[in-house]
Amino acid sequence: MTALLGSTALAAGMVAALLATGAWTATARGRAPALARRATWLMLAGALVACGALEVALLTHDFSVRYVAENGGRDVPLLFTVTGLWSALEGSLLLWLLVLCGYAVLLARRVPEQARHLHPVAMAVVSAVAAAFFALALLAGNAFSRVWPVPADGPGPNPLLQDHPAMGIHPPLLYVGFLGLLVPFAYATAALVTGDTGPAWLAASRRWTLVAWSALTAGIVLGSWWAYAVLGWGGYWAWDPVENASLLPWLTATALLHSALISTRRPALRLWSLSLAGATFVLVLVGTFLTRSGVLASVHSFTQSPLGPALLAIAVGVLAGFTGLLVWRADRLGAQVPVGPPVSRGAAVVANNLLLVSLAFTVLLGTVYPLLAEAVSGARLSVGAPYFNRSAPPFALALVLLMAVGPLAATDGERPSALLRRMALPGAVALAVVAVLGLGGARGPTAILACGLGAFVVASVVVQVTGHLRTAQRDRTAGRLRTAAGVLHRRRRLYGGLLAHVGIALAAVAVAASSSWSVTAEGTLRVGDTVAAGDASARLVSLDRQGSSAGMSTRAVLETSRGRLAPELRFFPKRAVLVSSPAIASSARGDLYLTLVEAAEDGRSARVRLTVSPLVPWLWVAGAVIALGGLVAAWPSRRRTGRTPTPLVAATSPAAVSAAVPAAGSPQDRPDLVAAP
Amino acid sequence: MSALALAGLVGVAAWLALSTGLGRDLRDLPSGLVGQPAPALAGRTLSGDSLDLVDLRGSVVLVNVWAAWCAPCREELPVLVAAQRGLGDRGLRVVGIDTRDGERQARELLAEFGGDPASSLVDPQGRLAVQWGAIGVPETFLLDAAGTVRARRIGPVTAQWVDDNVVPLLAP
Amino acid sequence: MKRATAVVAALLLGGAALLGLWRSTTPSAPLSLQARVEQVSAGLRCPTCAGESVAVSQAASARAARAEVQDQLEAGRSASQVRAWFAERYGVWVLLDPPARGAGLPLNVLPVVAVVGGGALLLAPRRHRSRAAVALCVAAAGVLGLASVATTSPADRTRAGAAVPVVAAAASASAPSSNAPGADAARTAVALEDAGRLTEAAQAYRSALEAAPGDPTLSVRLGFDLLRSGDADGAAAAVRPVLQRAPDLAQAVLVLGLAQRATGDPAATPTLQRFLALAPQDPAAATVQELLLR
Repeated sequence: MTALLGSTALAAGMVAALLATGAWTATARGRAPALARRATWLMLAGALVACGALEVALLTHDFSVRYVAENGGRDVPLLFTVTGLWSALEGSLLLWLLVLCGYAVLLARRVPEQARHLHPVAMAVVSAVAAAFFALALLAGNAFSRVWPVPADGPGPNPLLQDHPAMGIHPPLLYVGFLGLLVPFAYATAALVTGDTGPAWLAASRRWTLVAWSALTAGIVLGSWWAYAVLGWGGYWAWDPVENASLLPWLTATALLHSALISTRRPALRLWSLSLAGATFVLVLVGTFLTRSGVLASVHSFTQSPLGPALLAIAVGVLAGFTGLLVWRADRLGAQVPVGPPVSRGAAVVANNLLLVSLAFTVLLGTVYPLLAEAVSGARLSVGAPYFNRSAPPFALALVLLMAVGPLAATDGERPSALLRRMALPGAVALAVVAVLGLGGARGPTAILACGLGAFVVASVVVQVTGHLRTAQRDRTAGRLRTAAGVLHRRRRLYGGLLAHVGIALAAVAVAASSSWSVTAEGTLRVGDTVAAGDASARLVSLDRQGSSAGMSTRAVLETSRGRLAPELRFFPKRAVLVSSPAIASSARGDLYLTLVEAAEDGRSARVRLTVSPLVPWLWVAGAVIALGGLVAAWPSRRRTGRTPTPLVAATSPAAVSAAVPAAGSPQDRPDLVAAP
Repeated sequence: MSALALAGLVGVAAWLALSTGLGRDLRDLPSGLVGQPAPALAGRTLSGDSLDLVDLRGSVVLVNVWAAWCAPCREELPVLVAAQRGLGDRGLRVVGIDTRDGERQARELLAEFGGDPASSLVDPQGRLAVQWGAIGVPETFLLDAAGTVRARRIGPVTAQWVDDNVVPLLAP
Repeated sequence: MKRATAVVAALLLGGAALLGLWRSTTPSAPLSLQARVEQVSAGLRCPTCAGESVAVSQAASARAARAEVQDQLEAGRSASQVRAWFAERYGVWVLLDPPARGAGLPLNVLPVVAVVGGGALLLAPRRHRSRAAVALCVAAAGVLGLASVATTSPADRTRAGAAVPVVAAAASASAPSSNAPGADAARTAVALEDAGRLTEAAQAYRSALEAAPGDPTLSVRLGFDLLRSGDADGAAAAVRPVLQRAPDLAQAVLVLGLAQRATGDPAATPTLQRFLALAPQDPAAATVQELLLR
């Protein structure tokens, strides 16, 4: 019954999506949007009913549905029964559709004042993409196919996914991020279709991009937290294809957010920004294909299914279509304006884009290289963490350097000496950090540079913000606190960006410290024995085995310098999976990470691995700070309506801007760039 | 027009590059050992005796990595037993590496199919399998009389494979 | 006056930072065996798992591979020798960071082409921009072409290449003496070779040889390095001058023999036999014997 309902809902959703595509196209030609809106709502209803039906089937243990038979189980805790919806391929496709249709309805409700003419075209693009995915869910990977005979019980979700509450929100957040990036793509397509390649499409999609970017950031960091806390190898980023697939669109979306800052002013970057919006969504699709089709072996990858070719067809179709549009509109993309003065914020953004895109290229190359090499020459190669760990840091360090220098530079160019003077104090802090760490005996130039550059970013942000506040206090008309709050609120776009920069600097330091300065020791311990790593040690107190219906587990209790910890080794017979659950003691200085590698048959000794990883918890904090920065920058203006676009404000140096804050406003503050409902 | 052409070109290129992985099979993995002298192989067998591959120089040898817990190994065991019986006179020796296995279960399985425990080396930690570059079980290496690896098969051996690869190396 | 103080302060601070960076490059203590096992294992693909490294995986085969790495490192083999040992058995597929030659070349060169070429494109004056774009495409195509030529070259080359790491183990016994001219360059070269950066190592050997022309040890090491990177002709050329002066230097004879074998020269067999006659106890002798039997 639920299965029939689900399949029907998917079919209805597909019809609605096709209808919506047609209706929005008609709206673009002047029809009233009423029908199109209704069809869009219907799409959402279809996705909601389909997800609901599968949830009901999971919760009622309806094992006649193949998906439930393969991923549900009677003794699975409620939380993981609910998250079972996205713990395997077909179900996660339904969640994907739900998020996609949710975006479609929200987007349909918000017609941006200055991009009215783009809106219906963008909606048609979103609806067409939704139609493609409805078709995929219905025809290639239907979660509601039946199984006969009906089994009495299922194996439950993959035990690795049952282990951590982060699993509850990590995939939905990732999907909110991935599919939010459909919005800039849709508006970019609309800009190309209508021929209005000016800044309107960027303005209309800016906040959507920021929200999606924040969600994607949070999703990526939660994913690495999950890997760290569940997989038990002591790391949080393995450069696995699934991780890379989420990083790639994040990198190009970051580039897009930055190029959007200046491409309103520089027509030379119009083509570039449009390409970035296109590339970002194509990377979302390619990443989904790579990780969901089984072409790349990965810990996370789902098994092979007919979805592969269908996903590839969607990705290739979108790529080819967008390329065609770009070439078709080449004459309107205005490549006549030079990039700009070499010492300016614009130049920093251009350099940032070059680095981000080159880094994305490198990560993509490494990820798909085994496929490419085999296609071209038949050679079988593997590309893994050592390659990325070697290739990525130079890009990352250069980007952090730009984060420190770029925001200090004047918007429209200045003499280098002026920039140098503003850089003096933060630069001195950075050099001092490098000198102290290096002479203090820390090892690894990359890690030390990362710490120095991180300090550079933070100091440069502090210098800027205090500068703004001081100027505002000098000219204040209200109370001290109110003035400060006013500045912070008014310039939230700039400060959101700077907050994200601080978060990334923090992440750079945490990654550098934990990867370069962690100490590991492994030993076979009898009860009473001790293993020591760095200044930490762990003594085996007891070792006990337990058997339950869900499986066998061996628990080692160890007395450490930070209290008792109990790593476990668990065997899930239903899936024949052995999971080594680590025990972690966190503090601001870093983590003590204990895993049980092996337990002897006689239960007397165990092989234990002890890792001391400095600063790891700061990585999770950094993720929250970065995402928060994106949300601050996206926070809507209180004045929502009725403002006609002001002409672009002439650029001034940050110093001049801060001197004239209440009057002039910088490009970051332009209220006309805020999408009005 | 050029827009269409370029879009088509980009699409075809992307499709070609990315679709190679669809339906790819691990069995195509080339072995680094084929054409190379075989690695050393010596140790205790399931019957408790010792066995050294060096002593078999001059025979054509099938080195078979197997385990009692592996279902496809049960499938191929009759083929290997038959090959040893039928082709032993012409200089074929089948040597097993019983990898990460319980010795009792392994002996029981051999007894069931008439295999020889004296020609299977025990490999409780899987070290011998690694030294031979084995990717999984079952996996079989074919050595010629000079001790050079001539072929490697991932997955169960079939009678057809034996006819095609092993027989031509044997004395008539 | 104030300006002068600022400059002096900046110089001091910058100098201290540079000094700190330089100090951080020298390891305080040699890595523990466990850390080295971890490092090597992280670069090897677990043969039975989906895309995990031997260091990370819990699979039994990964555990066995880790034990193998530990045994070999304990026996004194270098990290690159252990990697070569695995690549010989499993193919290059087992290495998670493919060597920067043959099919692995574009992987290492294209990112550099992207960032350098992209930067050049941005900085190029507008009227030269299309020319710069063409140059960028040509560079990328060149890398790809080079790679496909290298991967489709005769099988002989890869076969000789696979045998060389084994024999090269023998050569590492005679490291260049420390106070000879060019000793620094030689040490750099050995380190580079150890890290698998063969092309750079060859360059370093060549510059070391400029300081000490005709040094037999350096020439032989250069020869092994070139053999490993597939340049058999270069390897033969590297040891020929040495052999003219010292025709009985076994290691040089070995390089020449392997090089001849790689190029299909029929003189290979007598040369390798001469090596066996000169140094029957050499650790490489057994492998050479096997090569001759084929």
